[in-house]
Amino acid sequence: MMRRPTSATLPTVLAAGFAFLYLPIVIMAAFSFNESRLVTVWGGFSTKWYGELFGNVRMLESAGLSFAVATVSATLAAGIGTLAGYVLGRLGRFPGRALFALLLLAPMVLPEVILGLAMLMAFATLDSLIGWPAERGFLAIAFAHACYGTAFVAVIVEARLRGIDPALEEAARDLGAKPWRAFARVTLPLLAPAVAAGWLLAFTLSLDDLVVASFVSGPGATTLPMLVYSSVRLGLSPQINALATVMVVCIACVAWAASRIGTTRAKL
Amino acid sequence: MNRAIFIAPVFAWLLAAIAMPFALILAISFGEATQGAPPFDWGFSLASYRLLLSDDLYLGALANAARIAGTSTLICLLVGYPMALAIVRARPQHRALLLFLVMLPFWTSFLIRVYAWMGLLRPTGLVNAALAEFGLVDAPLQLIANEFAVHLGIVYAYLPFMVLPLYATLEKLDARLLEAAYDLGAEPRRAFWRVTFPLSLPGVAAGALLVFIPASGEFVIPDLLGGPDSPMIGRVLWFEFFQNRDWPMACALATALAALLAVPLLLFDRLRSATT
Amino acid sequence: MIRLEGITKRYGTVSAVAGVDLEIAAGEIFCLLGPSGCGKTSLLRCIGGFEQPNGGRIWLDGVDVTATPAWERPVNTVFQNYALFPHLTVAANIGFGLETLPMDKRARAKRVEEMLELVRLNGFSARKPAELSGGQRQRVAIARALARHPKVLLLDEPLSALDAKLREETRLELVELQARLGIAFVFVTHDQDEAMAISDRIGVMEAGRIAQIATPIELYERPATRFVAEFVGRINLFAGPGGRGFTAVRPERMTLGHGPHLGRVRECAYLGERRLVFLDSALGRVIVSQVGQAPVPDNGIEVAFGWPPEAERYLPQ
Repeated sequence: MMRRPTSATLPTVLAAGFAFLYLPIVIMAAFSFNESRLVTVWGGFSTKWYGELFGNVRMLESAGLSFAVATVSATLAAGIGTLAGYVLGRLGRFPGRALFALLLLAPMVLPEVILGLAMLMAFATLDSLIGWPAERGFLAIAFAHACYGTAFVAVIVEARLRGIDPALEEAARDLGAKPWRAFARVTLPLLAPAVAAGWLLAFTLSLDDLVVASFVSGPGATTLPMLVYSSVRLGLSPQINALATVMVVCIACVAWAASRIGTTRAKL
Repeated sequence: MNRAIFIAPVFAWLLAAIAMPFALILAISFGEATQGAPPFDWGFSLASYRLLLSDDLYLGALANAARIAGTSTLICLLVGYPMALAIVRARPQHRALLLFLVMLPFWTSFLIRVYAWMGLLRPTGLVNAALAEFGLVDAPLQLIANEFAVHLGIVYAYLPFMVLPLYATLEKLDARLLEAAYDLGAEPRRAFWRVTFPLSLPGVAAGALLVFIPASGEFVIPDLLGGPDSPMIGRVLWFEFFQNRDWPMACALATALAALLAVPLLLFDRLRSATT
Repeated sequence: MIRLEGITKRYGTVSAVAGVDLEIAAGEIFCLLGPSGCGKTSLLRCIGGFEQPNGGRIWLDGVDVTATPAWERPVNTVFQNYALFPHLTVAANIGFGLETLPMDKRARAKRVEEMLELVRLNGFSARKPAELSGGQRQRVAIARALARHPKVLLLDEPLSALDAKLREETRLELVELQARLGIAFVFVTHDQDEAMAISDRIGVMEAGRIAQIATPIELYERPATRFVAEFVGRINLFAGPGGRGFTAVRPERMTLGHGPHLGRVRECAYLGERRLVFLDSALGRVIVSQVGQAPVPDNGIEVAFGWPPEAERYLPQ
């Protein structure tokens, strides 16, 4: 492609955009090492908030719950989402395809408040009909998050399927494999990077979710975002800065690793 | 029929896990609030909708949401388009890293990103401290608990959603079309407006939708950065549910919001089927 | 008309064009011919203004246009795969280049009509490119490039997207069109038949350099290098006198059944109007092209072959 006559406008806008995206996070992380309790006045370097953070039992319990919910919901979403993406990407037209696509993608496009409310309405109705789930805790949140994550996994898987030659699966059938076997032996391994990326996305979305979990969860279950939210409403706290920094660093590492997997697999 | 063994289980899941809950929202919006558990009675009452249409709080919240989400989407477009274009025109070996840098905030916690702005925008926050340091203001500016902060928060949180679809369409655009425009006497600015921009409209529409829809139902940003002056529908729905425990009203608000969002979604669908 | 002086173009450390000098006259069809990666497209893009050469000068009609951006050069391009604007109608595509010219609306509409007439697409003005056949698209691309009345028309593999039959028809049309307009056409192609059929002169490119510039007849009959001889048509190469260089003979100049050499028939390929006979001999692999009803030798038999002395050409390398 032709190099345009040298213009610095676009790179400048890009740099400014990145500064806008990253400066608040960087400043927040910097203040997590602040000796002072005041979140905006620098009082010297300290890691004491990290010490307090890791001594905070409620925080650790919530984090544990969030991780468990995210793991279960992402796994469920990866399974259903892969099948759904395969149905959309490979199986062509079938009666009700438009409804299928609409239902699949609705959780992704609708605001979270609607989705959270819908999930709670479903659980409450089920509870009054069959007495389950009376205590809306771990399973209810995981299930609600799985509905949300499924859409994202399906979209990623469908996009990846478009890059895989359908003749490969036909070749497998030609060689005597039944549809399920052709899918499991040929398509699924080729989809693995997309499924992994989808799992990671569903995992992070679940870990991050405040709104749906707030609607769905009963009194006993408090996820990490719910805890962060209630303490943030009370005001800024250096402990939250420390927690945020830990989360940002972890997620950056995971995202970087995920994108490496994606690119190295794509080169093969 | 072999395909049925793939389609049937997923379809059944979607009907149970998605269609049924949304149908329940619609059904319960016609119910009546009570003191029981669950706090409503089934029925067919238009009370919630009547209240919705007669109370300025609800209609105002819907209008505010549409307006604030709309202007935020426009700002995202104005900031995100040059960013996407800059990434497309960067050296190929840098593109992956730049794209990663756009995606990364999207992977990091939403709540924490909003929280970061709370620390910056408070009257005693860093922005005011910096302004005072340079003698630009005498008294701290009111930067938080108003619409400005809500706009800022939405643009900040949803900018990646605008940049990514724009990048995807611009990247697919055949570089030779731009060369053809140059060849035919169009200098770069003209070539951009006559060729690049019209051909990137599907990306603009997709990005605008990805920002507008979640922004219009946003709860966290107006709650943490916004003030009492212009409530948005997401926050009103939240309070209707958690504070007033009026489930039918909350469901009616959700139905109204979904109905409003169907308009841009259908338009987008028309546009997409028209261009492909 | 066009004069190139020492044009070089590097991408990173790779030299795509390595010092090309070239002169193209007004009103001629000039063809840049070569295998893929030889630098012919890069050279054309330098002339069009889409690439800035790393060295050398480009003169157009006596004006140095080396630093002139594409939108100000009086040349226009028919792109490979045409690069028609998919969101604009045929008429808007053709009229695109007129918008920046000092013309009023009516003159513009009239010019678009003329161009549609020129490429016989009257009545297609409201269609979008997606609604046209490959041949029609190509004609829109030509009309669009000619609408600005360029001094030179550049064509980058203009026929490669067409099927074989249409390609031959279109060749003829392009030659007629050029004769009518009288401006220079500069073609890029990897197809030697195409180049031979339409060009006044051909510049054969090899690894970023011009290997030979000549008329089609000269190029075929008197190739300057082994590369040219092998790229343009088929040729038999034998060790030259004293083991230096090569003696080159075209297959249709070979004689079968008489001559000083012996070869064993390996295979015969029947190609309709002619027949290729492949021989193994002490001189190496030999190809003989025969026309007419001569008897077909069986595979494996020994036959004599040779060539008249005036048919051979000495290649120094």
